[in-house]
Amino acid sequence: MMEGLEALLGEFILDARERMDRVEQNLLDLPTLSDVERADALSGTKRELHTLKGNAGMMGLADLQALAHRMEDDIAAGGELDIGNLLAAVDAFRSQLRGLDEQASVETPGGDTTADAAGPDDTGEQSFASVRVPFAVLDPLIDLIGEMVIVRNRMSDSVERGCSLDPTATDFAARSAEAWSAVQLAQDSLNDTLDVIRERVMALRMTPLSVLLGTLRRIVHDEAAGAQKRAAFETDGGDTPLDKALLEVANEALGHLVRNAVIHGLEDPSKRVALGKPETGTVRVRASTKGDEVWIEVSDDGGGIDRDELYRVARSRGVVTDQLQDVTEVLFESGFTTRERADMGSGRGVGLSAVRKAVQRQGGEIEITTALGRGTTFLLRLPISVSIARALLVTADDEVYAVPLTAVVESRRMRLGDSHTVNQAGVFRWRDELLTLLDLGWHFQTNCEARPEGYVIVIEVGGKRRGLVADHILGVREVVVKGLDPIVGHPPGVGGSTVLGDGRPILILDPKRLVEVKPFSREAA
Amino acid sequence: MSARRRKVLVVDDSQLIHKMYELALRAYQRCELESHFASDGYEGLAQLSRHPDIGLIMLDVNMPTMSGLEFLTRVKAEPALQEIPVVLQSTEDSEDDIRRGLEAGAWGYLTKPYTPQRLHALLDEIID
Repeated sequence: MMEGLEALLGEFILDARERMDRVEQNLLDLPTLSDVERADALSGTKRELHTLKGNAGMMGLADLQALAHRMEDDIAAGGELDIGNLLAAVDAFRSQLRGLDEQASVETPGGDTTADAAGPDDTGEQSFASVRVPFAVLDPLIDLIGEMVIVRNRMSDSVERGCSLDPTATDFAARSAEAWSAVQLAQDSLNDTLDVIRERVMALRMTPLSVLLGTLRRIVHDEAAGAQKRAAFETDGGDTPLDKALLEVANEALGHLVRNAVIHGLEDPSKRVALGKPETGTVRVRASTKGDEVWIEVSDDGGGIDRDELYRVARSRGVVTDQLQDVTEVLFESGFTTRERADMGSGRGVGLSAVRKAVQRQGGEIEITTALGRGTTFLLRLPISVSIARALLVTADDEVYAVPLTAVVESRRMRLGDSHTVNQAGVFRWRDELLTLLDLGWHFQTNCEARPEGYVIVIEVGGKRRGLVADHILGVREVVVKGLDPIVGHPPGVGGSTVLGDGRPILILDPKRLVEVKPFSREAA
Repeated sequence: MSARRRKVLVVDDSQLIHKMYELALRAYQRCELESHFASDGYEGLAQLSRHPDIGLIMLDVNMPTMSGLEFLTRVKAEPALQEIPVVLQSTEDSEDDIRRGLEAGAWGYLTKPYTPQRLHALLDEIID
């Protein structure tokens, strides 16, 4: 290897991975392409392999060089391509890259160029634990921090000036007002700059969903090949942004749903033809942004789910279905399978129930719609971003709760006699309407009575309003949103948890559920 | 090339190769080399108009937008640029490309993988 090149190993691995991803996508696309597109895709693939070969050669990685060379030759030979064989070569190439990656991260522990590319958690199939940030994006952020330092210094100066004033001097009042307003100006400026930084840093976390689509395409291909089915994979909305922190859960959920769609959704080619459907089934992933959520639909044009059959199976397995909103909900019950015995697909990995739990832990949901004979659609809903939220901190019976600020309309002092009872529910007159109250202490069972005075925090979600009653308002804080441990039971209306500066864990409320919760009933209490 | 500080333009679609050149060119002893980079032929032409004093072009034959050969043809057709020596770089199995490149006026070629020593030897020949 050229001296100094070790430093470029991480770079090489990243570059090679991206090129291999493109090679894989091109190979998977081939069957769906016209002759002209096919020629284009093949020459693009050859070019990628050619560059890979050259780069591997320069890095002194003879094995990878030979592998890329062989793949390039296979494609250049023309004729019917053995795509399965080429995909196996892609896998072999990747596995060698993984080996190099481990080596690189061992050789430069916490080191320079390779460290970001080849972190220790980057050795799995795919990892979303790190973000690559171009200097062009990073540098303005550093400038902003520089700006904050300047303002902070200005603020310290003003504070010092204020403190050193002589209280007996005749102009003390004027001078201290001056110093005070300088501090306030600086504080405003700090807040503005912080807002900009938060916005930009949050934007860094956003990743287009398309980074997941390649893996999904490969799953559809491999599962269809294994089950002797024919499946086309279509995608839409790959540019939909999703928080990096959610990519992992989205990846796992979508992988599961796409695998399900091929194995359980699509019919065998012969059956499809007999039904008058195209021989090749379609699995479609469509993503879009809906309000503050990302909606990802995974649909197939297969046989759909036979509700009667499902009900029968559920009954025979002793799964109680009467309490479920819809019989399809049993699919999310842990351990439930309609198959007599676990086959390759259903016996592998985690079940739908685990997938749904993981999604719910991140504040998302999975829903299902199905039409017998026409197919099934799973809708994966995820919040656009997680991690940091602005919340109003309130207390009720000495418990602190965080109410996400996005749902807060306003807060009002509630004095004795301000609340009334209508239909056994506490109400509060607010802007010409009667707001139904929900006492936080009552709801979270720290108090069996609704408090007659305190504060009403008006929340609104999807046009529905409710007044949360608390003792005190502590103020607006930034909270880092953490998921809840699914094993620990919690009352409805909790969206997550966070830890206060003093180490106290508190609950983050879920306004979406709270506006639906049955309010305090005098009779019940 | 005669100026004290010489500018080298590397036209290659691989960022990795850019970095390798940067290392290898920095290690060159006989004179100080300033490296400039372009990812395809169009960028290459843009760099040439920005730095008319570029004294050597290292050109990858295999690029997605505007191939190396097309870039070479354009450079050789431009009176202000045609004197700049162009060194092709390619893998050993691209003989056709190399032959066509030499016919189109390339100064020489370098096949990958090469060592910095080979690159330096070639630079010795071009720079005197």
